[in-house]
Amino acid sequence: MKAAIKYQINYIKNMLLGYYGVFLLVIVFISSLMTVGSSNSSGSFSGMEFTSSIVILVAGITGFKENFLFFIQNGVSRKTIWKSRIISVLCMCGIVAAVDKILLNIAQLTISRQQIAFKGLFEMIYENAFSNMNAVIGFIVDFLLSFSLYLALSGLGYFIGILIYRLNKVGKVLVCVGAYTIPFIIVPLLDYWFFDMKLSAGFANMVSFLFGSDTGNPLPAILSFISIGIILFALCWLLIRKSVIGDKK
Amino acid sequence: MNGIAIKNISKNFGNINALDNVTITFEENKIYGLLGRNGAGKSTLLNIITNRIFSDSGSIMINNQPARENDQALRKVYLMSEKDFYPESMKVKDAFKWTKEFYPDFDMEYAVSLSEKFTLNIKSKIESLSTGYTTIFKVITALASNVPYILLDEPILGLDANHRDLLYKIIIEKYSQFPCTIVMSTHLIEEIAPLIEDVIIIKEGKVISNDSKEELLSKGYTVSGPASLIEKYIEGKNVLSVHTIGGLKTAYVLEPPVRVNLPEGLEAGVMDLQTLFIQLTNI
Repeated sequence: MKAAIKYQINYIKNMLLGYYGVFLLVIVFISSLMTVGSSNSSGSFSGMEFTSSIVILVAGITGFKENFLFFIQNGVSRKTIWKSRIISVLCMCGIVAAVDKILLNIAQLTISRQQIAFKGLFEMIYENAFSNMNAVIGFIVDFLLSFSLYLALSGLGYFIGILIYRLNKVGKVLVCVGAYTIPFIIVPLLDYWFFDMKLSAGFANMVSFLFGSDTGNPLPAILSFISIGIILFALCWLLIRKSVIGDKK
Repeated sequence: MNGIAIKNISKNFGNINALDNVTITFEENKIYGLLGRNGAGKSTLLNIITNRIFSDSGSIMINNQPARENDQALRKVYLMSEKDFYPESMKVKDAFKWTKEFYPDFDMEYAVSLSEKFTLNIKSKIESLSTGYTTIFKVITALASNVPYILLDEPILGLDANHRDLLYKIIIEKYSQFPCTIVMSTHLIEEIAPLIEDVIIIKEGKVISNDSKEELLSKGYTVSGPASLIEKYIEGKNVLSVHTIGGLKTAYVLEPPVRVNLPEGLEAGVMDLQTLFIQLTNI
C-alpha cells in the first residue's frame, strides 16, 4: 500500500509541478507586461480554481490506464490500487486547494498593487457570504470549497478514465457522443417539446439548492461536492474490481 | 506444500475456450518449460496466476494463500510478459527503482550488473529500447526481483544468438546461487531444453503433458528405415506421425524406447523435446 501511494503521489506531483510552473510563468509575464505598460493599464485575474479544476480533472482521466498497468505488472491488487488512489487524491486536493489559496493571497498582497485584480472563483460566487467572514474563516471556507470541488472532479476524472479503459471502441464512441448530445441537445429538446421547459427549471432549482447559490451559503456546496466525490469513487471501485489487462494501445 | 497450485482453471474469451479445467502445480525451486503452440493458452494461464485477468472458474493458491486480489501472495510472483506495462516515458533505472518499492527484495546491484553485461543503458527511456533490449530490460527486472516464483513469458523475444546464450548462462547461474521456481514459456524449445527440468504442454487450453523432461522424452522414440519395413514395424503401435523422404520413412512412436529386437534395417533414435512437442501438438 505504501509503495502504491508513493507512486500515485509521485505521478500527481510531476503533473502539479508542471501546472504551477506554467501558472507562475503566466503570472510573472502578465505582471511584467503591466509594469512596463502604461501606468493607467489595469487587468484582472480571476477563477484560478477553474484552471486547477481542469488540471485535476485531466489528471483523473489520464491517471488510470498507465498506473493500473504498472501496478498490475508489480503485483498490486485492485483493492490497493483503489485505496491508494483515494489517499493520494485526498493529499492532492488538500495541497492544490492550499497552494491555490496561498498563491492567490500572495498575488492579492503583492501583484494586485500593480493594478491587477486577483479574485478566487468562490469569492465571486459567494461574494456576500465571504464579505461577512473574517479573513481566517474566509480562508478556511474557501479552502474547503476548493478541496471538495477538487475531490468531486478527481472522482469524475478517474471514473471517466476507468470507463474509457473498460469500454470497447463502440462503447467509447457512444459515451463520447452521448456525454455531449444527451445533456446539451436531446434533453433540452425533449424538455422544450414535451415538458414546457420544466425539466430545465427543476434542474436549475436542484443545482441552486445543492450548491447554496439560492441562499448564498457555501456550506451545501461543500457537502454536495464531497457527496459527489464519495459516490464517484464508489462507482470507480465497481469498475476497477473487474478491470483486467487488455491489449496495450 | 509451497508452490503455485492451479486447480480446475477454465477461461473463455467469447466462444473461444482458452483454458479448459487446467490443474497443475508449479513446485518450489524447479525450472519449468510451459510449452504450447500459438494461442494454446500459455499466456492466459500466466496472466490468471498473476491476477492480470480473472478465470471463469477454479482457484489459484500461491504458497497456500489464495492469489486472487491478495497483495501478499502476488508479491511472491513476478511475471515478465510479452507485452509492456511500463509507462513509456519511464527510464530503465526508474523502473528498477520502482520495482524495488513493490518488491523489497529486488537486487538493484544485480540488476545494474546484468544491465552492464547486456550493455543495456539504464538511463534510456523504455519506449526508446529496441524489441530485444525491451526483452532484456524485462528479464533483468524479473530475475533481480528475487521472488520465489519467476514467470517468463517469451523471455527471448527479439534476442540475438549472443544475448540468448548469455541469458541462458545467467538463468543457470541465478538458479544455482538462489534457487527459485522459474517458468519459461517460449517457442524456442530446442534452446531452452537443456535448462528445464519439468515440461508442461498445453494444447487448445488443455494440459496434454505434465512430466519431468526425462520422463517425457522416455515416452517416445523414432524409428527410421525402408518404407515397407517401417509400415510393418509400426502396426499396432501408438504412432504420432510418419514422415517419408524418398523410399525412407521415419515414424514417431509414443511408447517406451525399444532398442533390442529391432528388425534388421531399422534404426531407432531418441526423440528430442522439440520433435516430441511438434508431434504431440500436431495430432
